[in-house]
Amino acid sequence: MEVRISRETFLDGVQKVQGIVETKGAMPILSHLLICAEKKGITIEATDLEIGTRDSYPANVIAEGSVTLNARKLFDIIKELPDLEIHLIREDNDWVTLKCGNSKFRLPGLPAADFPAFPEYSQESLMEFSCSQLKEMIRKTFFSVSPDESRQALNGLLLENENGKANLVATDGHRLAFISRPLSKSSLPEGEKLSILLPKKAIAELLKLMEDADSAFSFSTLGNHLAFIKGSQVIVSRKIDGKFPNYQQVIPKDNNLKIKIDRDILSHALRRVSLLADEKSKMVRFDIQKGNLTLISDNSDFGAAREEFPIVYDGEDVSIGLNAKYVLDILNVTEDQEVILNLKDQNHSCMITVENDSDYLGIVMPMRI
Amino acid sequence: MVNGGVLLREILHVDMDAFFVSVEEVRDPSLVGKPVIVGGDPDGRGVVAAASYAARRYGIHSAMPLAKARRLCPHAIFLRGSHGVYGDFSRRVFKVLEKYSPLVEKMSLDEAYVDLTGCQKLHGPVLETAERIRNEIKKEVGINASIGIASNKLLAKVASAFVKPRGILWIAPGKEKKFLEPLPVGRIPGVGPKSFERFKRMGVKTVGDLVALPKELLEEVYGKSGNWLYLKSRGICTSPVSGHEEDSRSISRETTLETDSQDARFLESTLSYLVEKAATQLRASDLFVRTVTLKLRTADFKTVTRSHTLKEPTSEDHVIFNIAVNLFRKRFTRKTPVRLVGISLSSLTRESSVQTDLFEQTSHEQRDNLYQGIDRIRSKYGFRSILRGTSVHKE
Repeated sequence: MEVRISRETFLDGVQKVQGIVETKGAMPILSHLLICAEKKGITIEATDLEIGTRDSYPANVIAEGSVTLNARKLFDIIKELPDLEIHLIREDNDWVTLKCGNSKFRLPGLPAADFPAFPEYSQESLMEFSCSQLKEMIRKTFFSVSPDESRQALNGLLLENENGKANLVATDGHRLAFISRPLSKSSLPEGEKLSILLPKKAIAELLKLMEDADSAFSFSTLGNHLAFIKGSQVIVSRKIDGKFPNYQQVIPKDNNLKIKIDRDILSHALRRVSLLADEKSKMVRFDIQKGNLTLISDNSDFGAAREEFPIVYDGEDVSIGLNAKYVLDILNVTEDQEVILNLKDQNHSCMITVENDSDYLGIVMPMRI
Repeated sequence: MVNGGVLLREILHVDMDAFFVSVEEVRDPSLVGKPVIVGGDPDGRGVVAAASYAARRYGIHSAMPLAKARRLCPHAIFLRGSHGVYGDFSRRVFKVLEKYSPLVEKMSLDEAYVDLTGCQKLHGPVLETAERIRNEIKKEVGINASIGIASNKLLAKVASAFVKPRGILWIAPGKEKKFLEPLPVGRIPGVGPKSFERFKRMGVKTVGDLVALPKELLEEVYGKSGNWLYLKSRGICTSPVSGHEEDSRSISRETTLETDSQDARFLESTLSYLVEKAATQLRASDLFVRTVTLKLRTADFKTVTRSHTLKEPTSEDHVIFNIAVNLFRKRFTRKTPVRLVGISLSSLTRESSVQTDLFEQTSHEQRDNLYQGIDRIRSKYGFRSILRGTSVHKE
């Protein structure tokens, strides 16, 4: 194998797989990436056996062939190289010589034949997202995914496709985020519904690949695997087993106390008051009265803080304890100037919505005051 | 306050006024001022758990049979009581108390000692602090408290009972004798109606009368409790206010099996039983657990322990059992028989989980009621009178 490739292109390709390769693990080859040179370019592949990614890059292929190299070391080297052409030659014993300008490196590769086969996936698109839309949907829900590895079904995002719309839902059992957006293309027969659990890591990798807003990702599934495809770029991941809880059931229908608040004012006040909240629970009390809201944190260890400001509200008084971080997470991803807190009483969930987007909502369960 | 080189203690006894009834009045303000009795079914055999001050005017008091209460005041409002709610209100009261001192000793849902010794610089004079505490409880929780302040727990308790309801009484240092001696002897905590009758026959009516008796006589008549009476009648009490100490201990239950076992279902039911035992003690101590540890010893005397730490502390059997059984299933291989199973609860805290769950079908109130019910049945009929299905193993 012998290849000449621009440093910029190579760096881009090697950088994209850094999140997937395993740096420590029982199988050394998983810390490597696979380079295959054929005809007009190279493909770079990486996997941790759960997720695999592959993309093609233009290169001047002098001799076809393939080899694996330590992904981290290769990245560190390319990063430091001058912006000149890189010349890559594999020797018979899988050692690789890398030349660029006046530099020369010799790297121990591993045989390409030992690299795990790329999982099979389907080219048949079930739905298509524009990058900007998919990015928005992930950004507005991803923070609610549970970090608790022992609750597998809550460890990812639920993707649903129904009636030409895509829904993303995330919950950790204490809060939930839901977004729905129309799909530009959906090949699902009318009346059918598709529900798939996307692993957290696959989503994180996907986010890195979504650079230009205009291009589109298609989504497909095959057996236990799902794939996001954009041109030559593919991310394949295993689906999460397990049953996502019935989230429809916990979206409140009768939270009739509606409190309209300026998002900026609430967000800043909440950040200030939560500085003295209990470190574990992060609880801040919302005392809501006609025309004004008081945020209170009262803690024997750190002291007390309170802040009062006007709101649009003329219902009955209510006091509710909420985890400040959960509320801020939602405020941080909404763009509207005003948010609406939809409450029932201090024992029921608080639903946060915005006026101009009825297809997005966040739910936060209260804390016992 | 320093007196003769000894730091004088400043101890508050905070006691809610007609706690259960006050809670019901907050929940339903139309009850205020009416004779309200919290207990069981007035036609049943229960007793009065709490009576409002309006009901007390009819001679009704706690522990009186409900049937008698009904005869004394037929138009009283009888409530069954909602114990989960009382627990919630109690927690909020204690939250206020714990803001003032780390040394808060919980005596029951509605009664606590607070040690404010050395807190003047922080909170100001003790009498004013007590007033602030009372007002804050009223504002935050909505119920009235009476507070006794003295240099020890005994006197503080007598003082709070003396000024009930809605009173604050400070027994200034040096005035203890003057306060205590004219009181009827029954005011000393621990002197019940029976001893009271006995004292009456001996001509002892007031605490002062009791003080006049020589120690030897008391010991002769009352045996061991003679010395106790001698000290109490003089207002002497050295018992410290013991605040809760977090993480300082653990609750463990383990059992060596009669015969080594490879039967997963039997082992899991044993584990379930041990969890119930440990969790019952946990709840009795008003504690919640963060870390659950499983211990297994196999027939070859190898011991393994595995722990899991919860995000939200709990005291509920089913939550603890789920963790224990998950640890067990990860660890247990049928290859070697098991000799010993154990469970240990550590990182104990007084603070329960405050975060409610989206997908939990039952409210925390319902679950609190359930576990309080289970614990009451057990205290009356023995531990094995009620068990979880998972703890019962049938061949």
